[in-house]
Amino acid sequence: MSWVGQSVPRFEDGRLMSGQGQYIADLAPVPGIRQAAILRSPYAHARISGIDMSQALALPGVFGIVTGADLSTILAPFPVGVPIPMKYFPLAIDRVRYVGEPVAVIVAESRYLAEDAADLIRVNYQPLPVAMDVEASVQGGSTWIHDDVADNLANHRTFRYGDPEEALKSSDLIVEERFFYPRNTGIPIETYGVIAHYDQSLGDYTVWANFHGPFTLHSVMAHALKVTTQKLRIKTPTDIGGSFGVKSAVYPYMVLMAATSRLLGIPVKWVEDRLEHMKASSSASSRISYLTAGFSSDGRLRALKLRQYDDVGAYIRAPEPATLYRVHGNLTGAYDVANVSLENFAVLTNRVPTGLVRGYGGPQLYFPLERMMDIAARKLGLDPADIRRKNLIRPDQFPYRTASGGLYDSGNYQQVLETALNEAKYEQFRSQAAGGKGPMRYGIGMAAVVEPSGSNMGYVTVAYTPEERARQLPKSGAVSAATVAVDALGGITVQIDSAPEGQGHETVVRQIVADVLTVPPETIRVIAEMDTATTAWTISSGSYSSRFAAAGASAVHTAAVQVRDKLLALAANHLHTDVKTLRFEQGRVFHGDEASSWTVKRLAGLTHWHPAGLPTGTTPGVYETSYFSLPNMEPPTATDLVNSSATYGFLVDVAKVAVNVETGEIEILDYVTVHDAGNLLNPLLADGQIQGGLAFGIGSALYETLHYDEDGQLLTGSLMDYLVPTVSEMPHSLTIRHHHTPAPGVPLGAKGLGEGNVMSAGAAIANAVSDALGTEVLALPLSLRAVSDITGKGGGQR
Amino acid sequence: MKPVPFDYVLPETLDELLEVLALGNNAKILAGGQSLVPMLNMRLARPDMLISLRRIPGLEGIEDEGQSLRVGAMVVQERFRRAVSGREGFDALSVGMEHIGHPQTRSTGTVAGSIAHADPSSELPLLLQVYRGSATIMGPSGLRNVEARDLFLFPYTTLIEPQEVVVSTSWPKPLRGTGSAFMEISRRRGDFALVAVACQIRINGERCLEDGVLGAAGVAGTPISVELPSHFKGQTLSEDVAQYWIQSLDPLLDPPNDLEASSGLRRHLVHQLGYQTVVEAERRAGGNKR
Amino acid sequence: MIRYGKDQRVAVTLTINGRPYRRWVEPRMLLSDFIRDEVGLTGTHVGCEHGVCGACTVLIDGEPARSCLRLAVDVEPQNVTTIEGLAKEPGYERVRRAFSQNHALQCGFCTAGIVASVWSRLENYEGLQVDWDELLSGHLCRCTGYVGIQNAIRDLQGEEREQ
Repeated sequence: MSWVGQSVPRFEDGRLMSGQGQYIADLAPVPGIRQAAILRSPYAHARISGIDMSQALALPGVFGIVTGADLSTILAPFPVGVPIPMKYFPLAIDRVRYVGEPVAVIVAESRYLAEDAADLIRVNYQPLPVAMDVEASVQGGSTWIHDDVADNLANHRTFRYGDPEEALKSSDLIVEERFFYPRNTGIPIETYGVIAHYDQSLGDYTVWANFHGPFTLHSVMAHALKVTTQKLRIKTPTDIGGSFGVKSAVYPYMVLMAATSRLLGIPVKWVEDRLEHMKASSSASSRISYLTAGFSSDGRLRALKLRQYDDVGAYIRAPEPATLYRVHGNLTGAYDVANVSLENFAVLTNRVPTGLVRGYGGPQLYFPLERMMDIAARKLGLDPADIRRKNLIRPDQFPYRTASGGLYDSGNYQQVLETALNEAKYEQFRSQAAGGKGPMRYGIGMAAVVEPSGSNMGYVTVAYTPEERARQLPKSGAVSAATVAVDALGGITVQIDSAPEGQGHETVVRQIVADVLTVPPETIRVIAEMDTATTAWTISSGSYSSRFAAAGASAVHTAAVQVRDKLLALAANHLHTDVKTLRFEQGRVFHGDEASSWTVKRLAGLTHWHPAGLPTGTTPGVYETSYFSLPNMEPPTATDLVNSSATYGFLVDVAKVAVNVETGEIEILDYVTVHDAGNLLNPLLADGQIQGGLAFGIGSALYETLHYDEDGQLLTGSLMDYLVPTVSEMPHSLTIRHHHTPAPGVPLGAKGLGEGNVMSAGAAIANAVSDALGTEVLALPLSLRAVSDITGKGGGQR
Repeated sequence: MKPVPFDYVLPETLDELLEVLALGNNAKILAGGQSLVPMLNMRLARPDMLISLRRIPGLEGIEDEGQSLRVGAMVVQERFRRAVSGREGFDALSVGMEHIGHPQTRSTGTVAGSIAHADPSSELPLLLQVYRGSATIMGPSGLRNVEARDLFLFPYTTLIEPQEVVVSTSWPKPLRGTGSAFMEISRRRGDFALVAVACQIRINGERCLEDGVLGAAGVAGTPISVELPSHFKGQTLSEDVAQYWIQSLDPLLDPPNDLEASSGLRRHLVHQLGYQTVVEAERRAGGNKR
Repeated sequence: MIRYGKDQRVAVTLTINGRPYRRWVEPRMLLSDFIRDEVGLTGTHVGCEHGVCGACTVLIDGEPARSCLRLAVDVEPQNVTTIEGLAKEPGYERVRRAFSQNHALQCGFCTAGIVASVWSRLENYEGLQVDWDELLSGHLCRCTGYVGIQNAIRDLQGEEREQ
């Protein structure tokens, strides 16, 4: 029996269900740690003309206060992903640019005292005009947030594939709309946390933080601290309380606390509170999309033209403007269309800087794209299912090269669509639900989403022009590393590089290694916490872009195979036979039908106890590290073609909604989601990812928005106002189904699947609501207020 | 998010409590704290002194006084909810209290605390008005009783003076033949109401209206309520009667305009929910008797 | 009448998981901080400190309550139970099993609070109707979409009916 593919309950659950998880806030890794609080800007844009800390410093229990002026003596600005003259420090130097921007760090005996001291600091602010409207900025109508960044434009690029102008000219139907996808965020229930310790004698920094991809920004942090990477050691705790991408933006705070520890000469700990998190951690980019699409009269999509404006906040922060580029290779979604034009703007505003949030770049793309298909269907008198059937990439077209360079590795999109429609009883609903009852209107909607996983590091450089890229060293690849080691008594330890935040990697790794070495999963220990000084260094490691199933799992698998091969070679040597005649079963070497006395334990033991007896060329010990590189990961070409992800899954969602036109309330009656993510490593955990992703998607569709007023104040800055769905807001019924088209370039055939429903649900629900109301929804979230603006109930705006 | 430092005082009698309140410090009374402590943690409330009621005897009871239920200041919402659930005429109260926060906050939040906090979109102030209840307030000059309809002045502001404390609330038992109903629209389950409506109606054997109160929360600076207009007494509840009664709330409406709902939408929702609530209250009044 | 000054540390004795813990703390100290930082029971997690997320939920005299919304000094003389205490209860194994088999937790950060709420309705709650979704609505979980948690609860109820 194979462990991979089984719904194995998690090994992680035992400790987490007993209160024995070890999260960053629980740790005290060095003695003498003091607590930090951060004083933050109440203004969205202001000049700082003075900071009076005298009262705060006089408070007993306060160890010191660090301001931007102190910090600028030891830090360099963070490197950023675009060539603009913007200086980003983790603390405001002389000007604040968003509400919540750090202004001072206070270190005291307790967090209580640190907050007391923060209250006593007097900062003189001279408020400046704010820039909140991205389109106004691009048109030259806003104040400049950074003196040398004209019109707040951080990135502007145009792309042209095929002949979009000609294809639009010859189209029978042109759909033209403006869509808005709001700012929202991940809200992990655990906030950011950092512990920093500076060793004064060596000049070495050690930083503990709940960052799930420490290598990805290791060089960025080291650069800011003006040290080489070996002098910045980053450790992650065993457990991280969710991230959903958001915790990748903890890195400025890691540098901030590292510098604070150095300046004050003590180890410091900072645990972000929820209000800080809401205001000043990170956010998804909002997007305004102007979409023009040309269709032939029979519903074939001929051309797609997109103009996208992303609001990246007050500083463009690595890896931004990647929201615009993460899905560059799958810009055309599930549809076979060769003519595409794209214009991207990343615009600075006086809002919190943006970053990774589950689905990264996906919902911003698929909301307009999938709404467009429904709008076109309605205009052409086609069923939304039929227009998709006409345009989906066919099974015989795989591997399929998209207009923008994506290489869709495998799939059967028709099959997934038909399963989804069947499960949802689509035709039946269509024939029954005409009209509604009383104030209720019923609607059905779908979304078809190509889900990328395993990002190509090179895609980020699409933000540069080909000429600019030509002057840099090329970037590419999606690499993961893992180490499998066996000790003298046969104990197996696996070190992974994904720093999981609840995905269950410790369990899946056991399943994989148990299969290869034919030992029980419980005999394997998995080390998921990372240490940049001891974990195999890979720039692309960590948990993002749903990369574990394809990349991380492959590294584990190949490392385990290396161990197996070494042990089998040893056995072959001792049994004087060819290795091809041997195999492992139940942790023991079999020769034909005969079990030998050689077990994993005994073979590994030989390499430790008796290295002198090893055959020539065999090294002592069993410690195999595999660097696994996903295939087809080239850098962007001179014509801006890029395969932005290693593998592409597919899903179709069908949502049924009831809209109360009097109250504006929307109920999700039934939700069907059908995925093809290749082989599933653990179906129980795969479904968990889908359910969680869907909750995100529903939140973005109906509830969640980081809403700012015109002065740049955040109006939804607590969990009372920022509406994370509870169980009562989930669909009344949910059906999950799977197809399994293996990923051809991945040893275990698995693709990622945790983000797809974040990309699809907003579009599917908006399509269902549009169907129910007979109007076109062009913005999310669909609050009561938004629905009443459509229905006109309550007189619209007043 | 940690509270500012404050003195913590634990009076053992009401007299001691009044003594401390009379000092005129910037003091806050801590009953259940489910509204106060979040404000302390956010440092939006910065009291110099916190006075806990937990040691004062006699504030824990739910007493049946025949005509009404008297609820001591330290009775938690969940306990009161269970006490009235299933009792004749208290449908609106028990349903309404299910909308207060969550079981995990109702286990600690008190009935009197919610009344004294006077959040304009919270349920209990509205319910106290619709049940024609009152608050018993103790101060330097002794006890006084304030009818719910007079109690609430502005958002988060009541007639309770800084040197006073609510010692109990009184909930008149509806007379035989009374039905009541409560409806609320909130964004998520357990959130504060965008609009809440509560109603009690008493009818006679011929289903003619004898008495009624209709009120709403979330639509003005305080809960609002209106009596059944006297000229409807003796009539049955027609759609016209219901609509006229609901519209009699209009002069009292001053709904907020926020991200989730415009003022206009809130007005519309009062009318929508109001009608359903009145009809439901009348239906229950019928159902109770036969 | 007891009166503690704001600059004073006061002796607070709380019974947590059946054991008394006496600590000298400021009157303003939150119960959540007392449990975690003073007593060292880090299984109780702090997620929002304004009573919404539910991660810090513990049992106080058997009823679920937000430990971030209680002052430690004000909890005397009530009994507090945290997940560390529940994990030692004889009946807890079935909860652990139901949660694990239904994948009712991922990152585990909200889990201690959810388990406290669920436990309060499993034990000593005979005869009372439980609106499980209402109970669960008092907790935010960002990982599971709540599906696994609902399934775990369904399993636990099934077991109760069989008993």
